Amino acid sequence: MVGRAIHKVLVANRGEIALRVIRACRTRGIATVAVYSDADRSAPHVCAADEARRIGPAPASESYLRIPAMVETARETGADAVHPGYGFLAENPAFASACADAGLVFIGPTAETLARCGDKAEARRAIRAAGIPVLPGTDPVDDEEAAAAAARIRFPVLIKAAGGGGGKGIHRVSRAEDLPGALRLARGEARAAFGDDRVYLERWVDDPRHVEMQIAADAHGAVVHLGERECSIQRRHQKLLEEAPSLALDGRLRRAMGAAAAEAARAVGYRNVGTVEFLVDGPRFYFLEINARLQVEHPVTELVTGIDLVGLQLEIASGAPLPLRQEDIVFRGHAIECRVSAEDPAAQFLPSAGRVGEVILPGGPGVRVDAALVSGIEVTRHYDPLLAKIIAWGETREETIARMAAALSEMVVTGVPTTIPFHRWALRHPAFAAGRYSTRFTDLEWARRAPIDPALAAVAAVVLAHRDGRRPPTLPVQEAPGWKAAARREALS
Amino acid sequence: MSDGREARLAELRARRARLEAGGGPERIARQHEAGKLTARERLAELLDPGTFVELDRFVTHRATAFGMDRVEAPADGVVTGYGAIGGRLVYVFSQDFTVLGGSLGEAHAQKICKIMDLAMRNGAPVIGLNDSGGARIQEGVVSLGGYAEIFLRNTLASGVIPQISAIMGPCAGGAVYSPAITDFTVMVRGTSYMFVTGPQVVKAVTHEDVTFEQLGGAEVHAGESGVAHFVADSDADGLHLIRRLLGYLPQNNLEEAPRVACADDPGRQDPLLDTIVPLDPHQPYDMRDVLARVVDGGEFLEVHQAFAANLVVGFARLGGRAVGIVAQQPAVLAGVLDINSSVKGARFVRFCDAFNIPLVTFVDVPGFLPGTVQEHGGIIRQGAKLLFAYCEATVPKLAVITRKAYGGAYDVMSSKHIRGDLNLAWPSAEVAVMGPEGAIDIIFRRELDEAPDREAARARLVAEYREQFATPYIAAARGYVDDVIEPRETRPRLISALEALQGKRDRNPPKKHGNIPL
Amino acid sequence: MEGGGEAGSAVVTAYLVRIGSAEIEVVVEDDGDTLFASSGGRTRQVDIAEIVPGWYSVIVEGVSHDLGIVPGSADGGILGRHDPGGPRRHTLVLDGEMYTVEVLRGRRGTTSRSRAAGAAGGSEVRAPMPGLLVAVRVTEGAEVASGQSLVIMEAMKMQMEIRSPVEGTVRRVHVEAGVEIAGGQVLVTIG
Repeated sequence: MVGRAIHKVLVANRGEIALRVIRACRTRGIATVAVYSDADRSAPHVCAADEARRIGPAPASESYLRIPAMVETARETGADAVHPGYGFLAENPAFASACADAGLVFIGPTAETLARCGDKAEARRAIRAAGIPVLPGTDPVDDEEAAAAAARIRFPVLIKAAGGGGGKGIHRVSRAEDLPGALRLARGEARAAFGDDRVYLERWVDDPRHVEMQIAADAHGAVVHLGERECSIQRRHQKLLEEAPSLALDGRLRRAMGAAAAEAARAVGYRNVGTVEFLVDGPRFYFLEINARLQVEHPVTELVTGIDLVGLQLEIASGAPLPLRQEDIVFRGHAIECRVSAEDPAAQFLPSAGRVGEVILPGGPGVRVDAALVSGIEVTRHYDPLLAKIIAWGETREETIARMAAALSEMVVTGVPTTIPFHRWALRHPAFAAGRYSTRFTDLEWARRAPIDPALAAVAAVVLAHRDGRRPPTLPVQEAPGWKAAARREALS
Repeated sequence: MSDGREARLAELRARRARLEAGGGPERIARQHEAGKLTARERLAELLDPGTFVELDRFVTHRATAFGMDRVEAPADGVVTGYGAIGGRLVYVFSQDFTVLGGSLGEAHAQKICKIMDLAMRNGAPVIGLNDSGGARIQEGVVSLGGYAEIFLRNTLASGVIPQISAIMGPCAGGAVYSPAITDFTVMVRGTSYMFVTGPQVVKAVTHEDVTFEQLGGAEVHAGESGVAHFVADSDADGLHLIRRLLGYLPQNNLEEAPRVACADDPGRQDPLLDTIVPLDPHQPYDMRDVLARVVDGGEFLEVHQAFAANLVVGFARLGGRAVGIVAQQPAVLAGVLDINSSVKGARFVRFCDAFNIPLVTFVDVPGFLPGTVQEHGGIIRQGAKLLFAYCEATVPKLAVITRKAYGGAYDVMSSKHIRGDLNLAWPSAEVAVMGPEGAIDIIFRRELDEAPDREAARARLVAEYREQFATPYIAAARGYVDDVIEPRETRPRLISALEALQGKRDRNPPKKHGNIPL
Repeated sequence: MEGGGEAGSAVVTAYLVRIGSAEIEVVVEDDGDTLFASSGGRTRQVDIAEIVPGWYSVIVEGVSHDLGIVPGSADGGILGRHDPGGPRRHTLVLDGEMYTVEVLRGRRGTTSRSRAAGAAGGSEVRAPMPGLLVAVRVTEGAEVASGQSLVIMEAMKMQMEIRSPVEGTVRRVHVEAGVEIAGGQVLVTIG
């Protein structure tokens, strides 16, 4: 870990986070290098950077996941630091090592910390040893041990992959007889996603809330927490909507969790910016895992604290001590983020490839848009279908909700289905308004929604159809190469 | 806009609206009650949305006799124009039964001729939706002239652009000759009929008492006469079928049929094909099972399904390219060739040849159907039609012998000698002059007569003959088949050959036209 | 007198909408400028304008709505598609609510609404060509037989009798002697 001023950052990522990092660098006069795959040549982050290099063909495994190519590009361009964003290589210890070996500052934790946090079971062990409550569970088990362990933890249990997170390889089992089958499925998914089929078990909590703590630590041992984010609105363990502060926490719980988060960071020797995930069950909280990276939903924390987290990352990476102490961190107002993705909420949120037609982004006071979204870009199967993050801030939660609802109603994305209808529905839902929801909210409530005004929808549909009918007829382009060629020849002979 | 101009626009809109109402709400209701769609509804169902351009909507008749001068016939009973099917240009006419019974008069015929002329100049298919009471008596001889103009154009267009007729109501008397000349005819079950002479005249002349349905309904023409290539359960069904059919056809005789992206692996081998042909040569099997396993996605649009079922013909795709399939059906009449199947096959082969569609033939033919019915019916002439068609065809010709290929029928079914491009045989193939039993009876007549145990001797000789001659290897040794393949390899072999034949050039000696036996 | 078609004629088209499990009938009246949609006993003035392809502003009785079409479902229009197996149902997003709809067009017919006169239905006898109305032979309320002469017109230097195509009562005589007539213009309505 080198502590020196950073002059040029290679952004080893794409999409909105690449743009976010580039913006933070520009604010500080730091030069930026963007990398792009063949599919991203015209992406906004490429233009925004000072320099840009092609990193490979479209598939991530041949481009954004290629460690030697990233390191080589950094060397060629004279970058002295690498920001991995989130996803891709962000939590890859081999990448962090390769950067260190090449004399590059890796803007994030050390390779050792990444390895420790990446091994979920190993992380839990370290955290438990630090005296932080951990959800009753096991270390990686084989199928035989699993049955006994499950009985000990008590059903229902959750099978989770030891090699990674993000919702892959997670299965809930209520009865002992379902355990072998579920283990098989989970191992299969884990092997495919992380190349590691180890699984461990955890107690299942009914109606839990997923609340995470933002932490920051410098190279000199100082650790602070920057408040929580409530992330319970998820679908298949993928987050859809986040907010801060969480209504599930009172002052006492917040202080306890904040302290626990800082303690967890120390326990794994964390450096730079990261997130400690907890499961909250009434007045109790349990450690889930550490996300050793900058997270998608970081803007939520930025808006309630007024702190630029990417800027903080750059400062810490350059060796500087934390510019703030815990008591300097003040929370003001409320923030909500909606992840607008190219997924069809009416079709189990399945991602949809296609070309984005028109884009109209919202604005106004308290509305922030983090997006690399322009008309004409292709949404492909190679990458995450996230289109844009809309983050709203208000003095009160009610004001924030109103601002977000208004922003979403102004937002237009054509050409691909989006999750905007889901977000608008969630914001209107009484349980959300009251702040009474758990991680089961989406699965239970979305399927139960009733159409609001079918009569009006029928009229709108008919008027649209009628309008189409009134248009003068059009004929698609006709290709008739043989006939035309023969006709020309005839005409000339 | 000034009042005058507004008024003109208003008049145009009013006239258009009146014309779209056809024969009026009562007649339209009656059309619907009969289970039929109106002329315009049919076009909306047939064509891609938003593509239909109507021509000649304001054309009216000029007749004055029999009070015709007071009769308003919106669009003169036929809606004509062009649109797109699957994005490709087609010309259409749709007769309007609600206007004077869809009867054909001078103006009506003129409209149809106009779009046929346009189709011929622009190289696009013509689709005719027939629903007409026939010639407009009030217009007399002029109607006959109108029909003749149409028939001439059908003939001149034949083999230049695909022509498809849908019979969606009555089609009687002289009118039937137009669909007869076109390439494919679709009839709607229960609501359509075709005949040259109606039941009344039939009763008067031959004293036969028949209904419309019995004389010329969809089932009759699909199963007995072969006039109808397809039967649909409803107007909408029939129109969807036409859309599907067009997907296999080119726009004109200088183009290729559209190629679709092939989701079915071209290299797919199907082990079940190895076991489809039964070991016992007397056991039948369903050739459609073979077809389903070889073609892309198992999709096969069968033509003339109910007519001459002993020969299966239709369209499919191999590697995304449209092909015309001709195959014996061993499950019906043992797959023999007879009058009806020869004629059915000949027309289909000639259609494919005219429109650049490669032919893929699956052979399992024991010969021609014997008997006086066939002989007196002219199997000699009719069988020759299929032979002539195959010989004449210059499109890529691929053939797979699955089992029997005996005698003259072997020659007829796209054999190598008549310019077959690829001829494959399965190990179960038997290429021989005739089957073992027949051959033994002839060659070893004396020995069998003199044998102490005739049955045993015969069985032994049959077995020997079968082993030696009822195989593909003698033919293969002479290059009459290009290869003997494992049945599971059929699909990849056909697709690879098709690719290699993409640039095939072959020609026949110049002539006005041949003299195919008719 | 306006030349040409009757004032206020509108094209009426019936549609059937399948939305979720419900079936709703909507009838649209289109006079070329304004649209009225009737459904469930209510008639409302509607207007639709495209903002960008796939996104529309719909104003129903003055209330503004936004309407989007989820793509992949409606290239070429939202009316029921023809290919068997092709998509017939489309997803609309109206004010952020998603609806799966299938729109089918019913019969088309013309209602000739003479808004000023309030005439209701009946057989319309029209001028076959432009000319001069020379004489009117019947009065309103008179019983006429099929083929009976109603008016006399002069055109192309020839006089012609315009006869009733049906048996019935003269509901209304729309013209008077000495007036220029346009081709297709309604002369008499028989009920």
